[in-house]
Amino acid sequence: MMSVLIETPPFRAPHHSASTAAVVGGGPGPRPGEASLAHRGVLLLDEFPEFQRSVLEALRQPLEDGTISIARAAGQAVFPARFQLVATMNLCPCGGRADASAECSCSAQQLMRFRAKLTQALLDRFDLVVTMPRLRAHELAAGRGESSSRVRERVASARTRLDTERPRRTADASALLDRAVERLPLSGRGRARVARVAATAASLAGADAVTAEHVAEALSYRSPRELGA
Amino acid sequence: MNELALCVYAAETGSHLVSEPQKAGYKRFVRSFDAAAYRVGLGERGFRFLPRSDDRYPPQLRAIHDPPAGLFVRGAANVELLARPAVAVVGARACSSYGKQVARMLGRELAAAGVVVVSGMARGIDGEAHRGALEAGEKTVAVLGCGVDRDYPAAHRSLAREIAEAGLIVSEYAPGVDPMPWRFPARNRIIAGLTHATVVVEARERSGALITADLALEEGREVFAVPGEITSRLSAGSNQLLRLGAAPATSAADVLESFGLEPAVAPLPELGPAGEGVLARLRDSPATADELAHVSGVAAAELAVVLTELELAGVVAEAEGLYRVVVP
Repeated sequence: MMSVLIETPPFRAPHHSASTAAVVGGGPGPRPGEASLAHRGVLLLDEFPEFQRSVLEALRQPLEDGTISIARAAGQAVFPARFQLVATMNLCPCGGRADASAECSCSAQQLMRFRAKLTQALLDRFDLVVTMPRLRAHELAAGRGESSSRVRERVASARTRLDTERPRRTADASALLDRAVERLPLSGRGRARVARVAATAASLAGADAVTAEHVAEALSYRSPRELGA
Repeated sequence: MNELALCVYAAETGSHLVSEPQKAGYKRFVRSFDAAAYRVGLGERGFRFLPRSDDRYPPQLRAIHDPPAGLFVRGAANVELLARPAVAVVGARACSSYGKQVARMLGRELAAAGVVVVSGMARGIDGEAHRGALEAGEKTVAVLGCGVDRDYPAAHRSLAREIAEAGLIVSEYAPGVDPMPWRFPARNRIIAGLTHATVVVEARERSGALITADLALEEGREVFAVPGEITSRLSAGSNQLLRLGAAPATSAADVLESFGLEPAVAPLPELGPAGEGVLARLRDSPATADELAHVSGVAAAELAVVLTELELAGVVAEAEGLYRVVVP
C-alpha cells in the first residue's frame, strides 16, 4: 500500500471515535492500524479519555514491547508499533477544571466516569505528564522561546550522550529520589521512570551528572493523583 | 427493647426505624430472632454492635431527637472513641483542588490538636478530611449510609481499611445493607449528632453537606463554613451558610477555639533564602511554577528543587498545576 520510501517520521492522529481495529489493527487480512502506521513516529490521541476503553487497553502491549500481535484463525500477524505516544485531555468533561475563567460544572458522577477510563496501569506508562493552565495575557505577549532548530540540536546531542554513557546520579540526587519514594505515592515502576526522566533531563541540559535539580524536574512530571480513578 | 433485633428487622425490610413498630410482623420477627447467634456472626466478621441502652453509647448522639437504636461498629478502636470531643468535616464530592487541600489540612490539624475528625468517607471533601487525620497519625471515624462491610464508595476501599486499622467505621444499618440515596440524609444526622461542631468545607447550593449543617444547628451544635470564592458555584452553599450566620473557619485554630484548644505547632523545615522567598509569595495566593519563576526571579531549575522540597516537607501541595500553602 505504500509505494514510496518514508523519509520523515510519520505523524498519526486518529479521531477518538476510532475502533480498536482501526487503532491497533485487525479486520480481514488483517491490516495494520494507526499505531503501526505511526511506527517510529508520533501517535497523537487528542481527547484521550474519549477513546473507547478497549482502544486504550489495547495500546498497553505496543507501549510495552513495540509490537502488536493479532490472532486470526489462519494464524497470527505481528505488526511493528514503536511510536511516541502523545495524549491530550481536559481535566474534566466540561473543560472548566483548573481554569479560573471557566468554572467546572461537572457532577461527581460525570467526573468519576470520565476518569474511570484512565487506569493507573495506563497512566503509569506515561513518562511525562504536564498540566497546562490557560495562558495569561502576559505569557502570550512574552517573547519567543528557544527556536525548534536549537531544541533539535540539543535533543540530538542529548541522544548521543545517552547512547554512549548514561550520566550518574549525585548523592544529593539519590537522597532526593529516596525521600520522594517515601513521601509520595510512587510505585517501583514510578521510581524507575523518575530516574530515567531525570537522566534525560540532565543530558538535555548538557550536565555531566544527574543532580537534585534534574530529579526535582522529573518528579514534577509524574502523573497527578487527581487523574487516578 | 431489643435494639439489635430492631436494626436487623429494619435492614431486612428495607426501612428506617429508630423505635419498635407496632406491627404483628415485627413481633413475629423478634420472637424468632436469635440475637446471640447474630452477635457471634458479627464478631466472626470483626464487627460489633453498640445498642442505645449501652452506657458507652455516645451521649451527644443520644441527645438528638431521633438517635439510632444502635450502631454497627467496625475497626480497631474502642467505642469510647465515639464519645470524645469531635468535629465533622464535610463537603461536596465534586470539589475543587482548593477544597480538597483545605479539607486535608483541617483534618490533619484538628486531629493533631486532639479532636476526633468525623466524616462520611465519600469522595471529595469527606475522604480528604479522613486522610488528613490519618496523616497526623490519629484515629478518625467514618459514618456510612450503608452496612459497615460495604466499603462504599468502592474507590475508597483502601481508605476504609486504613480508617478501620486504628479508628472506627460506624453505621446504624446492619452489614449487607446497600447504599441508597434516601439513607444518606439519615446518615448525616449521625455525623452531626456525634460531633460538637460541623465544618462545611465546600458545598454547592443543594449539597448534602448543608443537610448535615442544618441538622447540627437543630441540635444546637456549632456550624463553621470555610469561605470560598464568591464567583465559584462550588462554594455557593458554604458561602450562603456564612451569610446565614455560620462562623467562618479560616484555619483549624478557629474551630479549635470553640473547644478551648490550641493548634499543635509543627516547626517549618529549614528552607534557605530561595525557599523562604517562594513560600512568602505562595502565602499571598496560589501560583503556577511559571508564575513563581516570573515573580521570584529564581531560575526554573532551582525553583523545581525548591518546590519539590516544600512539597516533600508537606508545606505546599500541588494540584492541577497550582501550588498552594497547606500549613498555617
